[in-house]
Amino acid sequence: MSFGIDLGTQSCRVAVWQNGQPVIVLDEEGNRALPSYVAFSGDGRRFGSIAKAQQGANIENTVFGIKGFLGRDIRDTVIRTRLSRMPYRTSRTAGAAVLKVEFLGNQETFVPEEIVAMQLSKLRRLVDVHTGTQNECPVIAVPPGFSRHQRQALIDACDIAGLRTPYLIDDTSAAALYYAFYSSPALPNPNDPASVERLILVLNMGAGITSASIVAIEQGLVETKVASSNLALGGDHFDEAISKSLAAHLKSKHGIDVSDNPRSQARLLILAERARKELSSAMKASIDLEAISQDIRIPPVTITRDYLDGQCPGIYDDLLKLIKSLFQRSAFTRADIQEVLLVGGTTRMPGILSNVQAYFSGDTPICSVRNVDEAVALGAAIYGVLKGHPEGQAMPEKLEDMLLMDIVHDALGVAVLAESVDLKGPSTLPADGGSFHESVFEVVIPRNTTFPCRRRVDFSVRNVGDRTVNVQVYEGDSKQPMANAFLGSFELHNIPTVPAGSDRAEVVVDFDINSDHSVVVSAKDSKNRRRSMAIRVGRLSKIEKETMQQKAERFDEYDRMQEYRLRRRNDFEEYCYGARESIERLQTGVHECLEWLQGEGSTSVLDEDLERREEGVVELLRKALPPGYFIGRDAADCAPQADPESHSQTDDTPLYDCYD
Amino acid sequence: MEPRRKFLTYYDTLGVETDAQTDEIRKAYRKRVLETHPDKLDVTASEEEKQAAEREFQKVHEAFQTLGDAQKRRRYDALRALKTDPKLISEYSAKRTADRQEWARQQ
Repeated sequence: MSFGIDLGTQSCRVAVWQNGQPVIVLDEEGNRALPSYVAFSGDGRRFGSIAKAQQGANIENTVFGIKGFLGRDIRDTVIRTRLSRMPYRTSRTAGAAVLKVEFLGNQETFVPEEIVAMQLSKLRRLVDVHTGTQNECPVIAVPPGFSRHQRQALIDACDIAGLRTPYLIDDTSAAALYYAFYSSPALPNPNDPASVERLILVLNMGAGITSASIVAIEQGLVETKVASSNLALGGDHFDEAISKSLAAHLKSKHGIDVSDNPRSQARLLILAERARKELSSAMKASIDLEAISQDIRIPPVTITRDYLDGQCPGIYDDLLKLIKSLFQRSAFTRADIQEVLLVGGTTRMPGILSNVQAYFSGDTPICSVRNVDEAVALGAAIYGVLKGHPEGQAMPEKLEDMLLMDIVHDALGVAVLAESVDLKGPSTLPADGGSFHESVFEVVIPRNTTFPCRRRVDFSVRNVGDRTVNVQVYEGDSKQPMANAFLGSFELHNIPTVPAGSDRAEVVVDFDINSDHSVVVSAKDSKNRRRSMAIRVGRLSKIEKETMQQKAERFDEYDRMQEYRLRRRNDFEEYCYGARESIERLQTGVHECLEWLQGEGSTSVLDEDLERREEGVVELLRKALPPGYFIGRDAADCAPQADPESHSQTDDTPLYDCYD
Repeated sequence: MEPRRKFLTYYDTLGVETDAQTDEIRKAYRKRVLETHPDKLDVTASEEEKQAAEREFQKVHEAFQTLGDAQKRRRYDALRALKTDPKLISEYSAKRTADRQEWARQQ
């Protein structure tokens, strides 16, 4: 079975297809979302809300916000500053971030992929418990702006977590798929506006990343036209702005400096997040700063919506810039958009809504799905069924006519010699790696091309003496190959000249993207000799991944053992308390009986009175002892005709016996 | 039936008449996409079947890219007419020659 995951910066959600619709899987505490926190401690790992709640006590070993570092180059200054601001310890090796935590008494280092793998296997366990079956095929929603390296990092994380055949889906496409699923009528009806083609703009604003795309929906057919993301725009920025101003307030009014106290900073950030969410429904929110300092009483601070908007005016500009970029990159205009779909928790903020509304001048309906936070996970679960519904089962009727056509998020192309570009005819491929200032990037597959797709481009060969070309594949927007992401290269040798003996030679390069979004680049000379290369950009080698997978399995095993031990311990504790209670009751019962025997019972003995008390003690004894250990009194002892002599005798013999 | 045409036009790919309305074209495209997209194959489909479906889907998508856009469709129609109707070619070139001569005369 497949399941859909919305792996957010702040929280994750997971959904499965059940009873003809996608449903959200709850965590052990019954929450619909699992905060993206992983805490390491001396006795195991904690996930989700438990990890987030204990952050203050274990600030250095609680890891969060990993999505932003996944597959990113640490040489990027933005990434480096963000990493250095995190309260957990980090370092770097080979261009990637490494997290250092204390776990089970050892110093352990993890790469971001491993942390994400832990989250994924946690989510998978939740799904396994929910469905009662083994689930191995995740569909993970990613921002459309994720590069191939970032996507590969996620797939590597799936490998480490032992999840097979992961699919990635753009999060805005997933939201659109869910929207199409429940808003489209079953049968085409020309009078119903929902059954003809609608062009909608999907805006997904999460905690750390914002994505937007223009999607055409016609009944079940969802066709993404153009998509873009801002990987550094989200609700977190509001939280940071609020916590910064709170820190300034504490310093100036109360003389408390939190700048070197990561614990207080983390606390302020959580308070800020809570206040921001409160402001989505209330006009003002009060922040209780009591917990920041034990020594001084700090009165609560009240913030208003206007204050919040004033703190971060740039965010709304960035948001509108992102929307405008969609129109710049496509033939659509603002007037073509028939509906705007807002998803993601941050779009609850009234400031976002009013800005988007103002941009579309009010006559485009702004719509939303039932639960803005969950649309992406639910859409991913639907995509899982579309991609590979359980074998041997028929496709659910409602999904039969559903199809998602996704697009290539970034342009793909090759490096060609700069001098050949302005000339007529095909550009020239370099004969070797070449110097970077001599080559320019030539696009073969432009961004926002629907896949599966295939493009063929002719290239000429420059140095006929060498008769060799080097096909260097890049992904990106820049004219400079070096500014784009390098995806791989290969060479083709002994290229024949056409016609033979002349100095002209040609190579045909094919780019082939299949329906799973994997790319194969192949080059062919005029004699039909071909070399091809499947694009694989993973940073981790197969051996590294296998080591990490073993490590992950060991930790999972440890967690399972720990869970089992904890359960056994709790069971035993309960058993002991129960035993103590029944022994105490037995003691009091026996004590009462002895008192009675010595007092009232020594003088006048009534048959029924004696019997009642006797039965009472036997009953208490029965409760206190497990069945095998209990030996009742002989039936003869209890018989009314019994001789009083034998009574006194039996009183001396033990009532029960403990065999070993 | 003799296989007269070696290559299919975009209209053939989508299975519509050359004078089809935009609405009809879109409907046909929708139908063909659902028929050809590899995601719509059975999960047990082999790699070859999948690749064949991908090729087929690409053709359909390419056809709609042109026919779904009024401007591109006009250009395509004009080109198609040129390619298929030799009389039109000569007419067109005759017109161009005439135009050129007219222009030369005016100089």
